[in-house]
Amino acid sequence: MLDRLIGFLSSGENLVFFVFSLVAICGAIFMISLTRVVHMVMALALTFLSLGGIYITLGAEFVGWVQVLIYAGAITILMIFGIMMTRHRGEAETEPQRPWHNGLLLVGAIVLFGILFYVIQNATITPQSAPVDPKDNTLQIGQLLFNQYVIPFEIMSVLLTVAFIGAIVVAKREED
Amino acid sequence: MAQLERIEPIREQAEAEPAAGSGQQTFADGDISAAYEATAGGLLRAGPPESGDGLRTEELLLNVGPQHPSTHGVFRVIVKLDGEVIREAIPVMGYLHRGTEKLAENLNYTQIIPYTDRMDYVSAMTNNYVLVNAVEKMLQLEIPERAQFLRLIVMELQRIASHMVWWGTYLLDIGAMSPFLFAFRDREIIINLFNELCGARLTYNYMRVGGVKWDAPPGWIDKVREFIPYMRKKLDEYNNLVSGNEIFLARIQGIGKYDAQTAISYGLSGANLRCTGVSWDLRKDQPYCIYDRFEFDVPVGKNGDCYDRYLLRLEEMRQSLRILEQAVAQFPDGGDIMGKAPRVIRPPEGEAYAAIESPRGEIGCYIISRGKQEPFRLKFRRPSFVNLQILPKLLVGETMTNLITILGGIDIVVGEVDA
Amino acid sequence: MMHFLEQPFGWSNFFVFLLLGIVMLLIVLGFVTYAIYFERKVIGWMQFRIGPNRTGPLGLLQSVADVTKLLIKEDTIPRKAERQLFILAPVITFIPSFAAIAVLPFASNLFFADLDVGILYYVALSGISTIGIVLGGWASNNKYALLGGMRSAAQMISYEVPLVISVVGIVMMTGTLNLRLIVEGQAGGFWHWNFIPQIIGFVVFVIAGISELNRTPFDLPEAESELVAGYHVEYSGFRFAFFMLAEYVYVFAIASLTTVLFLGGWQSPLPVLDFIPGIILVPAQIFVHRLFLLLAARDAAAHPDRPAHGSRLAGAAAARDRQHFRQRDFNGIGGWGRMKGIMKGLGVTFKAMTAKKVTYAYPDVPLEMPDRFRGIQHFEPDKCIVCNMCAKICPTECITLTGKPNPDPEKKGKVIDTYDINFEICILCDLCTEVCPTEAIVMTNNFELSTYSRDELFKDMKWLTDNNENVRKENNSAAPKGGAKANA
Repeated sequence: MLDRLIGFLSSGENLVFFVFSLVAICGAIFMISLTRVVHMVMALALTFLSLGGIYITLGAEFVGWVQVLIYAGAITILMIFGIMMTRHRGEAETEPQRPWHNGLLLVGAIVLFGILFYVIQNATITPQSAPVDPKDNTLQIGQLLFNQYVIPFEIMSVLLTVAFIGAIVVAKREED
Repeated sequence: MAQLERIEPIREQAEAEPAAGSGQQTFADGDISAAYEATAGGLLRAGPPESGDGLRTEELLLNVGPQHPSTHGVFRVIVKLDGEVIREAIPVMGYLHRGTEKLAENLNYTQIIPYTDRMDYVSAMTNNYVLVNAVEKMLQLEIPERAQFLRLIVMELQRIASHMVWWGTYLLDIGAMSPFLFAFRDREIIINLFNELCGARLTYNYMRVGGVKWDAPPGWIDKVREFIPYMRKKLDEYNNLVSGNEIFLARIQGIGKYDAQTAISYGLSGANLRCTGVSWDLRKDQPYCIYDRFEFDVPVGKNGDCYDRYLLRLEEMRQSLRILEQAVAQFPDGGDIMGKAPRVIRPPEGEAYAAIESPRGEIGCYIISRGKQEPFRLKFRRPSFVNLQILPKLLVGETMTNLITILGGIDIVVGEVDA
Repeated sequence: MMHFLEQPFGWSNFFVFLLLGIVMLLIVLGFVTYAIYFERKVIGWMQFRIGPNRTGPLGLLQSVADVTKLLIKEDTIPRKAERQLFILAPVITFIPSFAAIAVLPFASNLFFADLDVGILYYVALSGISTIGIVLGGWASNNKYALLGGMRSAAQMISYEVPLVISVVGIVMMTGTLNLRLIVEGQAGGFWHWNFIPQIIGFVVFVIAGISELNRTPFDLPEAESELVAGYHVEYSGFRFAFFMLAEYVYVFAIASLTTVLFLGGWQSPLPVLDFIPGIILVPAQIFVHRLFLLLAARDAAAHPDRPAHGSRLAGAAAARDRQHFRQRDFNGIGGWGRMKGIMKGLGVTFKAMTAKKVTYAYPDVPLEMPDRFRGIQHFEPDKCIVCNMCAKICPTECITLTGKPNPDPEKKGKVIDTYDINFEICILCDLCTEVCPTEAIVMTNNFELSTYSRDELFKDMKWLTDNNENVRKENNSAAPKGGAKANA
C-alpha cells in the first residue's frame, strides 16, 4: 500500500495532480467554512485555479486555460463585484449548536467516503479508444464541435443567448 | 448656523429612524462637526427605501475632501453614492475660515487691504479694488486718471491670470495634465509683470484708498502691450489643445445644466450666470472704475452647462485682452497715482456697498462706518461662496466623475468661500 | 530554447529555467526603470519642462532612487484594513503579470514556453491580476479604494472581451493560438504582417490594451482627480511598488504582444534587412510601440466618457454623442472627424516638445527678483526714531519694538533697543516700510526663510540688521509719509 503511494508520488505528474487536487479540496472546504463573503470567493477562486491546473495536467490545455480565464478570472470578479455592490449582513451569525448534528455528519461523511472508495477501487476503467493528442487539442475541439456536435453546440448557444437577454431584461426592470 | 439649518431635513430623517442611537441627540450651536457626524451616520442608516425583493444595492457615504486633490483646497462634500451615482450631496465649508470680516473690525482700512489679498488669492487685485472702492465711495474721493488706468490694467491682467488658473486646474481635474503647465507658463508672465509692479507674485497689496501704491516702472506698459498679441496666440493654442477634443466634449457638454431662472434664484453671478444666457456683467451694467470708456462684449452662453462656462471663460480672456489693448493705448503719460486721500482714513458715519465683477462673479463689499478708523462692520459678498450654493442641487443624479466636472466648472476658490 | 522544452524535466533544466527567469526579471526591472524615466522625460518635454535631471547623469538614476525609496519606506497597513488580503493583493497582482511574460517569444529561438494556447494563457493570467486589484481595493477598507477596485472590475469585464475578440481574426488567419507560430506566419516583409489585413483588430487591440493597462485615458481605477489614487490609495512602500511594477510589466507585455501579434515579431520589415538578428528587432519594436502607447495616453486631454457611467453611456450620453456625430457628419467631416480635435491637441503637444523649456534651475541658479520685490525686511537701527509706526500699521502685529533714552544726553528722543519681527505671522505686506518716515526698515530681495524650527523664524534686531544684501533701492513714495502727526 505504502509502496504504491510512494510509487504514485514519485512521478512528477502525479505529484502535481496530488497538489492541485489537495488545493482544490482545501479551497472548497474553506469556501464553506469561512465566514466573510470575500474570503469565500477567494477560496472558490483557488478551487477554480486548481481545477484549471488539473485540466492542464490531463493534457486539456484549452479547457484548462479557459477555466482560468472564465472561472478564476471573470466569474470571480463578477462575484466580488456583486458582493461589494450589495448589502450583506450577519458576519458573525452563529447557529445554535446541536452536538448530535456533528456526529451524524461524521457518520454520513464516512459512509459516503466508503461507498465512493469501494466503487472506485472496484471499477474497471477502460481507457478511451484514442487518447487525445495533447498537442493542439484546440484544433480537435473545434473540429469536434463543428462537425460531430454542431447541433447541440448551436442549441446551447441559443440557450445561452436567451439566458443572456433574460438577465438584461431582469436587470433593466430592477433599474426602473 | 446657516449650515446647520440646511442639513436639518436630513437630521430629521436620521431621527425618524428608530434604530439610530444618536437620533435623539441635540447639538450645541457650535458643535457642527458632531452634527455632521450624526447626519452622516443618519444618511447611512436611512438607506434606500425598502421594496419587495430582498437584494438591494448598498449606498455608500463618501467624504470627498477636505483633503482631496480636486476640491482645490480644503473643501469637503459628503456624498451619498448609489454605485457611482450621487443620491445626495452636502457641501461642508469653513475649513479655511479665518474670520476675515471679524478681523477687519479691528483694523484700519489700509490694514484690511492685505487681508483681502488672501480671500480670493487667485484674483487678489479685484479684491483689493472692491475694498478701496467701497471706502472711496464713502469718502467721495476723486481718483487720478493714471491710477484709474493702472487699476484697470492690473484688474484685467488679473482676470486673465485667474481664468488661466481655472482653465489649467479644471482640465487637470478632468484628467489632462499638460494644459495646467501650458496655462501656468503663460500666467507666469502676468505674475512677473505684477512682481515688477508691486513686488509680490500672489498677494499684491497694490491698491490704496485714493489710488495705487506704485507707479508703473519704466517699460512696464510696453511689456503689457507686448503681452496682448502673445496671449491671443496662446489662446488659440489653448483652443487647439483642448476645446475641440472629442473626449473632453463628451465629458463636459450637457453636464451641470441649469436654466436662467434657477441661476438667478440661487444668486449666481459671473460666468455661472452668463452661461444660461443672462447678460449681466457689472463692468457693463454698473460701470465702475473707467470701464465705460472701453469697448468690449459680454459673452453669454445658452445651454447653461459646464461647456458653456468653459467657453465663456476663454472668451472673457479675449475680451479682457481687448480692454487691455485699448487701455494701454490710452494710458496717460504722467500724473499722480494717489488722489487727495486723507492721511488717516476716517470715513464719515454711514454705509456703502461697492460691487465689481471679479473673475468669479459679483464680489461686493459692504461697510458700515461709525466715523472711526476701523469699520464698524465689514461684509464681503463672496461670489465663490454664493455660486457654490447650487452645488448640491446639481450633483443629485450625477456620477462621481461628474462631481469633479461640476465642482470645477463652478470655479471656486476656497479662500474666498470660507474667507 | 526548443531543445530545453523538449527534454524531460530534471534538476539541471530546473536551474537553467530558474536562471533564465531571474535574468528575465532583471530585464523587466530594467525595462520598468527606464520606461518610467522615459515617460517622465517625454511628458516633461511636452510641458516645457526638462523632466528628471537631478539623480545621476541626465537623471538616469531617478527611477532607481524612487524604487529604493519605496523599498526602504515604512510598511504601513491601516489598522482597520483586512490584513491578510491587504498583504495578499499585491502578490496576486504581480505574480500573474510576471508569469504572463513566459509565453512571449522574443526571437525564433528565444522563448520560455511554447504553449499551443499562448494567447489564451496570456489573457487568462492578466484576468487574475485584476482580482488582486479589486481585492486590494476592498481590503484597504477605504471607500476611494473600493470605488477604484469596483471600477477596475467593471473596466476589466468591459475591455477584456474586445481585447480577445480583436485577436480572433489573427487566430483564424494563422490557424493557431501559438504565439511563435503566429510570428512565423508573418515572415517576408512588413506587407505580410498581420496589422494590414487585420487593421480593425489592430486598432481595437491597441485601444483595449491601453484600457487593460489602466493608463490615461482609461485610468478610471486610479482616477487621480476624483478617487485620489483609486485602489492603491492605502498602499505604500514595497507593496505599492508591487502594484506599480505589475502595471509596468503589463505595459511591457502588451507592447510585446502587439509586436508579436500584429507587427511581425522578430521578422524584419524588409527582406533586405534580414541580416538584423531578431533579438534586436523585437526590443526596437517594443520601444516604438511603447512610445506610441505613451503618446496615445498623453494626447488625450481628458478621460473618455467613463465606462463607469454605465447607463449614462447607454442612454443620455450616447444620444448626445449621436447628435454630436450627426452634426459632424453634416459638416462633411465624417467619422474620422471625431478624432479631429484630439489630433489637433496632439499637434500642439508635439510642437511643445521642441519649445523652449521654462524650468528654473532654482537652487543652482538664484532667482532674480525685480527691485520692488517684497522680501525679508532689513533694519537700520541708526535711522530708527522709535516712532512705533511700523508696529501700529502691521496688520498681523508681528513687529514688537522697544526704545530706550538716547545715550547721548545732548540729543533728545529715543533710540531703538529691541526690534523683533515674527516671521511666523509676517505676511510681507510692505506696510511697515511704507509708513516708516526715516526708511529705517526697508525690504530686501531675499525670500528664503525656511528653517527647521518655528522658533528660528523669530528674528531679532541683529539678524534684521545683518540682512543687508539686495536691499531694495526704490522705496515707495506714493503714500503720504509721517502720518504720526495726524495720528497724534
